[in-house]
Amino acid sequence: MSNIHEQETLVKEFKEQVVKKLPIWIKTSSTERKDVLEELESHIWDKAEELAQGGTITSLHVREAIALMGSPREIAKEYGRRGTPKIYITEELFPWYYKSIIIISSVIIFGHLLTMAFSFGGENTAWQVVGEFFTGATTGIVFGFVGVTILFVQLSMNGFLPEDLKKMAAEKGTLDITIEKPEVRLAKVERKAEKKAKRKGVLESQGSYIFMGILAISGGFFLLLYPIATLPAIIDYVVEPEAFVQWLRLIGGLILAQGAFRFGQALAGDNLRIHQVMMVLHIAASCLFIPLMLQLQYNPDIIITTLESIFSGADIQLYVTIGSWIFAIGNLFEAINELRKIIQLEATGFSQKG
Amino acid sequence: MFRNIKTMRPEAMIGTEQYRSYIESFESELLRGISTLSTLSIISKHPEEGIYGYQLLKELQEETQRMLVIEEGTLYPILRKLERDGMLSSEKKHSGGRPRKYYKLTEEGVKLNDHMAGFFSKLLEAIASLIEIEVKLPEKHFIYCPNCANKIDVTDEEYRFCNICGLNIEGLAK
Repeated sequence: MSNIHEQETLVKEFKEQVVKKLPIWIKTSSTERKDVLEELESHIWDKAEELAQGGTITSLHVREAIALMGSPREIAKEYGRRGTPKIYITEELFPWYYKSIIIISSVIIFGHLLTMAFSFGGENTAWQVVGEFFTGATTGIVFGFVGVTILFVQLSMNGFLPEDLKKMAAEKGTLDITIEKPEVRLAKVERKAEKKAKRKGVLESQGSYIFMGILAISGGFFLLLYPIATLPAIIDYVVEPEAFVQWLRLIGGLILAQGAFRFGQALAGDNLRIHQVMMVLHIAASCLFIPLMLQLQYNPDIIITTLESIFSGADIQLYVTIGSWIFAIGNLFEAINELRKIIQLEATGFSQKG
Repeated sequence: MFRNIKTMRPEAMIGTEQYRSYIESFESELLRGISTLSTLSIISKHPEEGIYGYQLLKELQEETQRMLVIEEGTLYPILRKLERDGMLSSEKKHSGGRPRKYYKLTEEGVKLNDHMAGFFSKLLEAIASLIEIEVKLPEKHFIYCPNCANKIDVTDEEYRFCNICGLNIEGLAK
């Protein structure tokens, strides 16, 4: 390895270590990240020059200059030291924290109110229905509160501020990492622009992943914990409620898992390897939907018998077969599309090792 | 300062882990605020051309006779934070064959620097007798706002009110 190449590799490795530990709001902004790394690199070369005392810079000088910079963890930690501390969540994020708690609590209460409305007239007494409403709503709010609190503590620890969300929205989908030396970068500029354009269509913004994750997790929990089939207004019509409830719960579990994988992508930042792993898991969940959908036509207890008892004379078996195949094929296409994205990510390359 | 200690006897008090951790935490807490103040003060000496990170560290070491040790890499997060908070402005220039970011104080930054310097000066003056040192503030050239400790240049006749807390400071100059 030539001397200059070794020196450049040392600087590159140091920058890679810093990038890995940088807070998410810098990682996801290509401008910020480039700026931070450029400044650190410039300092290392200045220091190495000073250590060489007018002579030729050697790898030893570069190593010493890097050692004097301090540990990448400490440097990255300093970048994350933003916001005014206030009981684990920064003061700047508190208004967002309150709003999120209020929104989530309202959604939970609204959902339970709807459930309660459909529950009246069933086997349970009014007191039992109201009691279930309070128990369910309280449990839901407690879970929501804990989840949102963990999320905001994590964001505060990363020095995340409300304006970062706006910046992220402005830089939607730009998840490229630039850690080469300026000269190398200039030589590769055309290829990088091409890769960036390709990758832009592959990954969503962090905000989109958070949104998709929250939506799917809420939907999944709803189907898992409060299956629609148990509502008295519906249960009267369901011939085999147990089979239907079990099927709905399986669907809920898969939706919940897909939400968790999307959430994982939101937290993955620039680590494209984690993105790929999450996408593979998402494909697995999508594939599991296929047998579940096809099961509808082979196991009449789930829905066919019920529909036949309601719409006598109609060819329910045919409709369910068509419907379940449409859903199954839809999921297959979704899985194929996700697989295409994984391959595309691999093809566009990783400028940062994941 | 603690990081500068190169040698110690094994039985010395500073060799014990508990003592070291106590002093290290005291030092890092104290240095955090002082680093920001010192950084602002050095930048304030370059109002026209600005100053880049490496040059700033060199000047800081020279001015403080290497007593104030900032871990080199941690200077940049401090600069970035001050810039994001609107206390510094920056401009990228190519010098010495590499890109450098030159920092200058903004109007807000100048005020912050004066206020922090004033507060720290008054604090040192106040605790001087406790730690048996002598502190003589340059009160011929500056007044220290009695309300917020802001450092105000008495030669500037425009100031009738403290630009931090708004206190009427006419007639306070000695």
